[in-house]
Amino acid sequence: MDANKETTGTPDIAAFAAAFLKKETGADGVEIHSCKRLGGGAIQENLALDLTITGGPWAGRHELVLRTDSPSSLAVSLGRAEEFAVLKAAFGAGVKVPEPLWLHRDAGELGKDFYLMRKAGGSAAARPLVRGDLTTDERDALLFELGGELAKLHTVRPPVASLDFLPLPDGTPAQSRVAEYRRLIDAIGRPQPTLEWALRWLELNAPASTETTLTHGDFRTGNYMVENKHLSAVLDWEFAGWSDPMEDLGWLCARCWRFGAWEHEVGGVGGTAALARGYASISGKPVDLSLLPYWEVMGIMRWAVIALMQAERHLSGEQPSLELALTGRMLPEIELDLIQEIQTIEKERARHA
Amino acid sequence: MRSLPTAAELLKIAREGLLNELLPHLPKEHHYTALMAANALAISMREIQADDGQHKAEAALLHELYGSAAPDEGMDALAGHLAHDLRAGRFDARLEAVGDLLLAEVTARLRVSNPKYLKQAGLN
Repeated sequence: MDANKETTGTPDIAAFAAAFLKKETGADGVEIHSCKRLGGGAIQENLALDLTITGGPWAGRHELVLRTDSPSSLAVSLGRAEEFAVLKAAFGAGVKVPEPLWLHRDAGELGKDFYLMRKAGGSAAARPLVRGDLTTDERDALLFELGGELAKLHTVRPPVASLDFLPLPDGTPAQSRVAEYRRLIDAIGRPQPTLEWALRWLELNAPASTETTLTHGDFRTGNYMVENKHLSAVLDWEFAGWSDPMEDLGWLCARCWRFGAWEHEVGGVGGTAALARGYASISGKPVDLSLLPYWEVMGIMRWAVIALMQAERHLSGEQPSLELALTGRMLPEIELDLIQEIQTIEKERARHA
Repeated sequence: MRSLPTAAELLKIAREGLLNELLPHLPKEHHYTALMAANALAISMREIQADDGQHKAEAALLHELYGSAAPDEGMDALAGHLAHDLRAGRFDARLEAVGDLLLAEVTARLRVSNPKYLKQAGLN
């Protein structure tokens, strides 16, 4: 076993994972060819492992991703063992995710949980999709696929025994979110008038929920992989939970996740028609797009709260970081998005009144 | 007596040195940090040079909502009160008007943090 060849990640983890795999797969040996840290993930650490298993049912060469906690994590996100269970549920529902393979539940040996999954092909980089040279038809095809994957995920409904750690919304999902974001803002302890204004609007305009399903919670451009212009995998499941399925669509379409391409409502990639068609092709019923603007505002609100929490990690001295510090200075942009999008909804409403 | 160059001038020339002289020699994986540092310097520079737009926007908001009860210290002193009142529904009857006032205040902060964003949003 040689865990250190071409290693730019953490050799300790790679060696540990090799020993873990040997035991887990009943192998004679596990040779790690390379271990590389993958970009992205302020919260998680992702290592790409290229390895060969000799002996046992898994004998052969494998490209895997090891996902573990990085030193700092957000209280609102799932731990790795929970994320593994969500990934399994999504995989079981037919959602294109990297196949979850093995979970290491730590009992003090390494100091943290991790799991291994198959490495998905393609790239999750947002900019090439937003700025790239996809034709309109290619964009629509990708959005159709995204809609279909969301619809598959949303077929998973509570109760699911393996997901019993996920709390059900208290009240409707929208009411539950408003309460959650208020709690999180209060915990930081710095008053936020603009966010309170938007939260009050979200409270007063909360839709009656029609259903509660498994939701991804962070389904946006940058968190799905695209290979040869087609969706290859949906990543980053640490914010999954039971919620209104429209929350996933709102997050995907929120102005803060269009990477500057505001004219393309769905994640900076294209329009909502293709997304809705793809969704309906799986769910069998049309998407009520009239609910989308509300959930886009909820998405911007979510980003505001996450940005506040990230900035607080710097401000509190817990994790001094230029990137986290600048995230704090992004708050006015998010506040502007909130106000403008709510004003647009109100203007539309007045026009139709 | 004021020391020269001013803080704003120092930040400006430091930023130019970072972008024009250092950045081209940095390996690609460090570009992001360098660009973030340049952005931090630019924000600081604009903050030092900012006019009283934010103060005015805050004063207008507080005067409109609290009249003569508004304190002179500006938003920081009253943010908690305003946040509480908004959550409690005290301004429900004029939520839209409050939104306009908040927009002016946010706009003033964006002029410092990211003026390009204002432009994209159709404001300036």
